[in-house]
Amino acid sequence: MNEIILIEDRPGRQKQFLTDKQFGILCEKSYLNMPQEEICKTLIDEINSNNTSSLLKYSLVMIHRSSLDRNGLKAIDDLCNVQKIDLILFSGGLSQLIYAREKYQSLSLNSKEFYHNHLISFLDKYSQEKTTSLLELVYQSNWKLELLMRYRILKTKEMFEEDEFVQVILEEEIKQIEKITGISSDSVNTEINKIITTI
Amino acid sequence: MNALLIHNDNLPTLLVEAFESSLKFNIGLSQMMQDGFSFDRVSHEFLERHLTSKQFDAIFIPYTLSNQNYLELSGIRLALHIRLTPEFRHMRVPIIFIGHESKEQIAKLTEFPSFLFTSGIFSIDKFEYESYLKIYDWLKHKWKSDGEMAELSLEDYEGFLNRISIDPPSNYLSHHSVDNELSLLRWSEYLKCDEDIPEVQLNIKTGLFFKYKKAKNPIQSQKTGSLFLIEGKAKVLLIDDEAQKGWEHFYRTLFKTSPSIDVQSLNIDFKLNSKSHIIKEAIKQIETYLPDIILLDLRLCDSDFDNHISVSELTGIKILEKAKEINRGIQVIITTASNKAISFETVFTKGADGFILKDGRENTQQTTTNLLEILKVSIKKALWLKQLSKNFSQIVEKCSSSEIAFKTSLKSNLEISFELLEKSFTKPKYLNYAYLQLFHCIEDFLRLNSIFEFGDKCYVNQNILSHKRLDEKRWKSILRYRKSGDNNPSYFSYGENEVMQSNITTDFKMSCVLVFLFNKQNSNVFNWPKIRDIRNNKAAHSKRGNVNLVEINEIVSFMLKVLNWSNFQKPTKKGLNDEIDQNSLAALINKFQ
Repeated sequence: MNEIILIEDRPGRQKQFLTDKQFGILCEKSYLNMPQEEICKTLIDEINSNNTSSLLKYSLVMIHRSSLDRNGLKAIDDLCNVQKIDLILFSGGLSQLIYAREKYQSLSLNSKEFYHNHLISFLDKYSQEKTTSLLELVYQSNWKLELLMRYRILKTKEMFEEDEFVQVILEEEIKQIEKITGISSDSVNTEINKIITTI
Repeated sequence: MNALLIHNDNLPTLLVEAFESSLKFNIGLSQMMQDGFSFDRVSHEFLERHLTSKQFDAIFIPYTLSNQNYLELSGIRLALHIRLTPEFRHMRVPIIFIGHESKEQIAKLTEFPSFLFTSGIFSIDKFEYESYLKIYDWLKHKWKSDGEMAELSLEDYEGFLNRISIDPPSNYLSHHSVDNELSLLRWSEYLKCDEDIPEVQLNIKTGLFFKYKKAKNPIQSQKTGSLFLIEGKAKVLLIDDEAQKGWEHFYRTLFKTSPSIDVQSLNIDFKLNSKSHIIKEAIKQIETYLPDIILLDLRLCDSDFDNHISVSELTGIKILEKAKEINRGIQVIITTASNKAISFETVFTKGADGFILKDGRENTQQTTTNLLEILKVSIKKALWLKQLSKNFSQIVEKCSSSEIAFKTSLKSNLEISFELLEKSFTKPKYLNYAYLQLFHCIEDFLRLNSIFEFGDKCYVNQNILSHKRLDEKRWKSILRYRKSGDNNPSYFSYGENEVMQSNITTDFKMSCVLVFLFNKQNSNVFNWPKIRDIRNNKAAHSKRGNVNLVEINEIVSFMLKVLNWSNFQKPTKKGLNDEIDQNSLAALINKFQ
C-alpha cells in the first residue's frame, strides 16, 4: 500500500469543495494522512524550516502550494527529487494545469480541479499502484487519450527528425507509450477519434 | 514569411528551423517550483519580451506547449494572452494552431472552446514548411481579399470578445474578489500609492482573466488626486481579509495628511482561521482599541463565499452586530465589492452606518470623493454618538435593580432616542423628537412610586409628604413657586406654600426630587429649569427651531446625575406635617363602623 499525505491549511476550503460525506470517506482511508489544525500548522512550519523528515514514508505528497514559502518549496522539491516521491501542488491561484516528469512526477493544478469528485477514486487507485499517472486525477479514463495524442505528435516529430541523437530519445519515448497502451501508429488515429467522439 | 512560430521543441526540428522567427516557450518543473510562480505571469513576461519589438503578420502555435502532457493545451491560453493584451501589439493578427486534431476535437478538451471558432483563428494539421507558406499566402491574399496582410476588423474583435468566456481562478471565489482587487489598484493609482502594491499590480497586469475583464469593459484612464485633510481626532479599524494585500496601506495613505486619524487593522490570517475565531479576534480588538470607525468587509472567510449563505450569516454581519453591542455609536461602514448578492436592507437593519462599494470601473475621482465624504460624516457622528451610547448604557446601569419594569422601559426608550439622534444628522428635526423621548424617560422616572407617590397625599421617597390635597383645586405644598425674572427661569424652592392651585406637574415632582433626594434648596440646579423650558418651548414646538447638540448633552448629563440611585442622598429637610386631623379621623372611623 502506498501511503499518501494531504496537507491543507485551509479547512474552510476543503468544506467548500468537498461534501461532508466525501470528507468523511477521506478521513477513513487508512493509506491517507490528513493532518488537521495545529498538527497541520506544525508540519507546514517544519517544511518551511527545511525539515521534511516526516514526509519520507509517503509515496505521494499533496500540499497547498500557498502554504509553502520559498524555503518550503525548495525543501519539497529536494525531498521529492531525492526520494522520488510524487508531488501534487494545488492552489486557488493556479490558472493552468502543469504536469512534469523531469526529476519526479509532479502536478500543479487549481484547487477546484484538485478537490474534484474523482479525488477519492484516484487516491484509492494510487494507493494500490505507484505507477499511476498523476494525470489520472484530472482526466480520469481519458488519461489514455493524452498518451495517444502525445504518441501521435512524437511519431510525427520522429518522422521528420534528422538528428540521430534526438531520434533515439524519441524512439525510446514512443516505445514506452506503446508498451503502456499497446498502440501502434496504424491504429492511433482511429483510437483517438473513437475516444474523442465519446467525450 | 513574416510569421512567428512559438513552440517547445515539440514540433519537427526541420519545421522549427525553417521559420525565420521562432520562440521556444517552456515551463518546466524548476519554474513551477519558484516562489510566486504563475503561468499567466510567465506567459505575459515572455510575450512582452518578444512581441513588442517586432510586428508579425501571423502567429503559429501548437495547441499544447508541453512535452509531457498533450492535454495541457497551454498554447490556447498563450494565444488568448496575445489576443487580449494591447501592449503586445498583436491583438488582431491571425493565429494558427498546429496539431493533428481538428478544432472541433480540441474544443471538446479545452476550457476555451468558443475561442477556437472566433474570427482569425485557424488550424493546420500539416508539419511541412510548405503548408505553412500556403496558409500564410492564403491569409495574405484570400482571407480578406484586399491584398494587404489581413487582420481582424474591429467588428471581428468585438465578435471575439462576445463569444469567449474566461472564468476567474478559484482563489477569486466570486467576482467580488476581482472587483476588490481592481478597485484597490484604481483607488491606489488615484492616490499615487499603487507602487506599494506590486503583487496586485502584477496580478491585474498579467492575469488572463483581468485582461479579459479590461477588454470587455475598458477602463478610462484616470487622473491622480491629492490627499485631503480630515478634521477631527478618530480611530479607524480596518477589518478586511485583503487588508494586507493593500487596503491597509491605501487607508494609511488616505489619512496621511490627517495626523489625528489613527488607523489599525485586524491583523490575522483570515484564510487559515475559522469564522468563530475571526469573530472572536475582531471583538477583542474592538473592545481594546474602541475605534470610532470600523471599515468592515462582509466576506472574511471561505464559508462566506458559499452561494447559499444568507447575508445575516456572513462573518462581517456577525462582527457588525457585536460592534454595535459594544458601543452603538461606533460607525460601521461596510466596504464590499458586491452590490448584487448583498441585501442593503439587511445590512442597514443590522446597524451598518454606511456602505462603500469597491468598484474599479467607476469614476475613481468621484468614488474617492464619496469615500472621503462618508468618512468625514462618520467621524463627526462617531465623536458624538460613541460618548452618548456610553452615557446611555451608564444611565441604564445606574438604575435601581428593584425597578425592573422601569429599567426595561428606560432601555427601550433610550434605544429609540439613539435612533432618532442618529437620524438627526440628516434631518435636524429628529433632535426635537429625541429630546422629547429623553424627557419622556424623566417623566417615567417621576411616575415611580418609590420616587414620587402621587395621591391626595404625595410622598417623595415614600416617607416625605410633599403636598396634600385641600379641596378640588387647592393643594398644600412644601415647595414655593418662584416666578421667572428677566434672566432667571421659574423654579420651586423649599418652604411651605398653602395656596398652590395648579395640578401636580412634572416640574413640581422633579423639584421635590431635587430638594429632598439631592438635598438642594431649590430646583434651579443641574440645568433643570432650562431642560424643562426647552422641552416645553422648543422640542415640542418644532416651528420655534430645533434643539441643538449642546442641549441634548445637557439633558443626558442631567439624566446621568438624577436617574442614578447611587446619587440619592439621605433627606435632611422635613416634609409637611403628616398627622391625621381630627375631622378626617372621625370620617374614617364612621366609614368602618
